[in-house]
Amino acid sequence: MESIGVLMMCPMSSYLENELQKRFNLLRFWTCPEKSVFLETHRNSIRAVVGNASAGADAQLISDLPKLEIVSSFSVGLDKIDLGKCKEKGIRVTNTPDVLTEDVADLAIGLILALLRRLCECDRYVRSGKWKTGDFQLTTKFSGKSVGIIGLGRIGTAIAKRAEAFSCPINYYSRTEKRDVGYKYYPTVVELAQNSDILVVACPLTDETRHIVNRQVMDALGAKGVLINIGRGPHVDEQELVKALTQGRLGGAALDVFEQEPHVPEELFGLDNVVLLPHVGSGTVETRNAMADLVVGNLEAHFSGKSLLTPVV
Amino acid sequence: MDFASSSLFNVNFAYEDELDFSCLISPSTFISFQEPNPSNPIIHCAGTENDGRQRIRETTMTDEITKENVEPKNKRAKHREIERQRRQEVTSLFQNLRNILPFHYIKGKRSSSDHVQEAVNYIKDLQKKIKEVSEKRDRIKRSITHPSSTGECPIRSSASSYCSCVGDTHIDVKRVLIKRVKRLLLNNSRLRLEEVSMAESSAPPLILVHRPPSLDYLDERLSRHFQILNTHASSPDPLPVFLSRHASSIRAFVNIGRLPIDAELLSHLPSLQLLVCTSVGTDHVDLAECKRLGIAVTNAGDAFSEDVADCAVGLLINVLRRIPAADRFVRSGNWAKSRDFQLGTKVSGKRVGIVGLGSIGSLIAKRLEPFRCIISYNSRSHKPSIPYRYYPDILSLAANNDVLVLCCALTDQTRQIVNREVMESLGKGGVIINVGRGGLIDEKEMVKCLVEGVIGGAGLDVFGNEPEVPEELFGLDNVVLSPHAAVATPGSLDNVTEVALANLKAFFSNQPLISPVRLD
Repeated sequence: MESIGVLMMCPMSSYLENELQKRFNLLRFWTCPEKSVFLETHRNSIRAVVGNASAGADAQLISDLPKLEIVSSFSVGLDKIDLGKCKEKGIRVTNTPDVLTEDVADLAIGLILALLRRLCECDRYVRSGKWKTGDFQLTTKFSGKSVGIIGLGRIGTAIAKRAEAFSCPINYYSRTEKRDVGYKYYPTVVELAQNSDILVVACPLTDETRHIVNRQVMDALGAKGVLINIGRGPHVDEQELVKALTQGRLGGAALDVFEQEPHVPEELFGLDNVVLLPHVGSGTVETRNAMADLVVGNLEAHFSGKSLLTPVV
Repeated sequence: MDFASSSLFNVNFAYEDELDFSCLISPSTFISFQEPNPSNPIIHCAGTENDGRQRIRETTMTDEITKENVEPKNKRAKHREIERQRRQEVTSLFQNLRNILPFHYIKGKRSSSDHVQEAVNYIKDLQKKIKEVSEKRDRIKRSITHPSSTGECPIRSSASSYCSCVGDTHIDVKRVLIKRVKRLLLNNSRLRLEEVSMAESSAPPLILVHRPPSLDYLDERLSRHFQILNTHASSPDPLPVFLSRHASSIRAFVNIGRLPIDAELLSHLPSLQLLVCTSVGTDHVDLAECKRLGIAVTNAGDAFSEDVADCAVGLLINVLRRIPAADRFVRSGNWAKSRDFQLGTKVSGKRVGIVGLGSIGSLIAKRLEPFRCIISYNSRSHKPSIPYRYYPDILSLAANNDVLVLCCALTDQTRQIVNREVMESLGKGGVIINVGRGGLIDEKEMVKCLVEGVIGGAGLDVFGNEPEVPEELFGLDNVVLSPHAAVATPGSLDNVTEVALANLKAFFSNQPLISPVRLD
């Protein structure tokens, strides 16, 4: 397999790089200065692309690589991969489902607690020495607050289970009502927001879910409500979010994802009622290694003619 | 020692003309003190140079000899016995006098006769003071209410406990006015507040409240049911002075915050029977002294448990997933510069050892179960009904876990329970979460262990010497620091207000307390 060209789109895990290098002819796309020259040189040797949530395989790349057989993504979401084009050309696509479900759900609960109990602000307060001269303000209780989840898939369900242990009533919105879950279903996101203290975005990004959290939803959530986004940046109308937060129409927001990563609206930097993370939903050593193993496992299975571990297309 | 601080002379104005000091002397010896009068034999003997006891004895003997002339001789022995008892009682009376007289009355006085003389002087002084004070009180009362005020106004409402009527005009004297009267009286006469309170009919019980200026959340609820003597609002005096001046008959004391309650402070509250603490931990209270004095102590019970458990889990996730460090990373613009952020550690599936599986510890365990965390614990005793693994010592608990959560009470047994050895056995990936008390950890060693990488991180809501925090921690990304805020949500404050109120109500109606602290 050492002759097989594997194009890695951006740095994502040094462990993954090592594992790929051991097995394949690893080409690091981010290290070459002239992308078009690079693609021209390697167009006949590249048979696999490894992408992630920020860099995948768009239509242009797919048409530039005539020998491409498989796109193995180091992510759950596949919004950076042109799935239609892949299907059309018979290119296989894999992702890394399940392994990061727990991490994302853990982070969602961590963000809720960080936001309501103002843990980041507490930490800044102590580090700045202000505690010596005054009392910290009261924070907001989490236990018992109603949690509304957009998208009750694997991650949404894992969040619901965790929030249940905090005695939180769970509401959800999804395309279809799910029987046997025991949570309250709302047929629109606005109704879900109206009836929840905490709104968590946990659905995949599609054309239908782009800006699913718009101004109307933010206003329905209200000045005491908080928004948690561990999905994708474009789920939320970011400009409206900044306005709602700065005008006090929304209680707070904890965001792991943004519309133009790694760019974050600077208006948010001065706010105490936001928590801002650099897209680390699956950012743990354990999970990144498990994801890397899946990426490598899918490529090995494909090139040795076995069935894929986690196929999407 | 001034008049107001003597708790023994608890004088009710209604009886100010007949001072009854019977409580001061042993029950068998009832002596009614009277105005000095040359014809009074006691005063006469007290005025002589000789030993008062001797003179009293002689006076009594004279009476008996007179009787003896008409009584049979075999009664002499009986009389001698009676006389012996009387002498004993008189001795004990003088002893009592010495104890109760303020020092400047007995200073330099040796003989019992001097003591009796000084006692008389003291009583005269007291009566004079009482007369002055009551005149002053009446003057002030007259200046704000009509003298005909007897509370018989038909439209007097329950909301206004005082009413003054001028002719047919109803004047509603609000409680605010009464408060002003009280303050005037207090300022002018150094009277104890509870004495003034007696003037109010059917007044709610008086309780003492001490709190930091900012913690006013209980005031409103408490004042609906009790009269509050607030140490913070009422007086610029140092606390011991304030207490001995105004709080000597206080039976219930609500201590909001962390004011240390030691033997010295308790000595200023001789009537205290109930100490209501608004914290879960009572390490700031000398429980042994409370037990000795028969003072019941209550704490916050379960009022804070959910919030503290939430905070513990929040700190745990925030340390492992490096959330505050990540937030700093984004806000500083480092992400936009495409710098890498160091990966965090997975929470789900971690082994979590809980030190102290009480109400808070159990709620932490319950919250961590859906995270697939493997829970084990160490506490004073093994709880067989609980499915979690029990480790009899903290060292083996630390050795078998990734995270150690401290949520036990700080006692002599748990002080610095987490020492260097425990941290070494927790290991370099290990994390400590402390929502108990700072004193549970050897803080100096913990700082070293964090800096040297002996342990992996820490989430700390409490510190050894709050609000001081070791500055070495400020530069570390693997710690999350919180200003003892685990309980500080409006929900918790509502809860603790309910618990404090319920304990006070139970106390004043002789019902069992809601959240008593074990005094052993």
